[in-house]
Amino acid sequence: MRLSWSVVASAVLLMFVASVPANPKPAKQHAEKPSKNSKTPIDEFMRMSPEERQKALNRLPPEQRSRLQERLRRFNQLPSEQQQTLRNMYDRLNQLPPQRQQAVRRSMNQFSKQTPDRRQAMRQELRGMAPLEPQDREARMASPEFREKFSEKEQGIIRDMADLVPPR
Amino acid sequence: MDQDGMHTPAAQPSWNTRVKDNRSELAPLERDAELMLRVRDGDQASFGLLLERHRGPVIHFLYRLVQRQAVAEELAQEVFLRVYRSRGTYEPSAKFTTWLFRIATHLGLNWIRDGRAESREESLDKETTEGATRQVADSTRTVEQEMVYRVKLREVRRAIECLPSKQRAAVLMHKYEEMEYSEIANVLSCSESAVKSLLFRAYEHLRSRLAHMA
Amino acid sequence: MGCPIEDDKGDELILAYGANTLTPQQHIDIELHLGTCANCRERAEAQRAVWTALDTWQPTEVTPDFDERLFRRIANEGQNAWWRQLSPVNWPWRSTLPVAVACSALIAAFLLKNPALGPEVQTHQPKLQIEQVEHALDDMDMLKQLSIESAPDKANPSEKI
Repeated sequence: MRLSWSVVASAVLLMFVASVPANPKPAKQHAEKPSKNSKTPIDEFMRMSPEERQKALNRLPPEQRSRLQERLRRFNQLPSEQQQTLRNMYDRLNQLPPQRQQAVRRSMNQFSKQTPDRRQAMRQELRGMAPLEPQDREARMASPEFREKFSEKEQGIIRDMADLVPPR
Repeated sequence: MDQDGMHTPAAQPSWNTRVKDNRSELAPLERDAELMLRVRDGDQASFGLLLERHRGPVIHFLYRLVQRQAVAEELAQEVFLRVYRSRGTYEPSAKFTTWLFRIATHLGLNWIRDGRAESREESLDKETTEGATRQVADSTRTVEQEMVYRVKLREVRRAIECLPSKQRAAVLMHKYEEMEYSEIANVLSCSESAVKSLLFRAYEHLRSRLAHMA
Repeated sequence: MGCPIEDDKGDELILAYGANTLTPQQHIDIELHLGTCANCRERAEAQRAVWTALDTWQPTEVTPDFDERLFRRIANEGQNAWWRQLSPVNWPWRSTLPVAVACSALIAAFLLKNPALGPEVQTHQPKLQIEQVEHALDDMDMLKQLSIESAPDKANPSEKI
């Protein structure tokens, strides 16, 4: 008896499904929720329900938890354009082979230790490289002007970090 | 079911009480792995034994690494939680303590790296005083001796704190946990020669800061 | 014995001497050497001093409720585990079987009609570890300092997320 009920229920549900148009227009995204295309752990976290988020956070020591919450809040407050740029760079970083990722992280660490004017000079160089194709970037980095402008260490940093700058 | 969600009294885990380890017939190296395998098979008392054996070393290591007792204990809780969570997939491929200290080091270094050791000055003063009070039960010391001792302790802690975090972890494992180079290398996931190099640089630095204390 | 300082094994010997972990023969050898080499003597004495100084820092007591707190966390985790909520003992099998069959049919039909949703459904059940979020934020912090697409006056690359 119960089994036959299940057959009837399935039939009704199948009819209902059949009446739903395939690939309906996607619902408008909630303003605070990240796009479904964003795959960073931060976005995944933000897509979780509030209960799931709280449960995940509860696994951290209190101090660590509140610090993480604060960092997430700050990230979410960044202009959406900047968030997207960071996501793109994050994706590029994580698509690199592990050893390459390690090298890029090391270079970014080195970058942060440079003086503000040197950092600015390197940023400017990377900005200039952004529209270039890979072979043009290589040519630029091999140029005497580039070698003169940047120390060997800086050249290495730029070379590593150029991996994160998508050609425009 | 009680407040903690345990079925009482039959399902109350027996690891909830500190257990005396009377399995001395097992060799020390194998015993932890053996205990962990028993935890994997559902013997929760064995988890209590593992906790009893390693609680102190893990907390002390983390305390010296992050230099805050409360944080060290929170991190140690996380270490043992992770061990417990991993019981289902545990395979004794590496020495248990190596695995344990790898988790502890990872959590400790992350905590340091994330810059959570803020307002260190104040914290170090407070912890040095409280730590000295907690660790000293020697009532025969005079006030002067006590002051000298505290200054010395503070200097040692500062010297350790000034080491880069990986060097710090290596020194703590070498000095206080008496680990071999190879084991430290396994914990830090690097080569034995890299560990030696870390330690030589670290001790060089410590000699420059602490040799006068002889 | 040559001068350990100039030897590749020099640092290792000095450390082992400071820690008293040399073999008796090595100990005798190095003691003999220290009698004649002021450089090594100074270094070995400094290492011994460091070793003794580090002994000053003895561990503090663990708070008495450490185990209790841990067991409580483990028990809470166990209680909240998703599998426990879905545990067969909580399910009235006979009455829910038809519903389960109907739901399975519904999901299967829905997926057949919207194949593109298949992987999406999977991504909604991530095994996301909270540490991954922390690591991602660390990476974002590092990446933020590049800020090559923002004008310097608009962005503050040094400010951490």
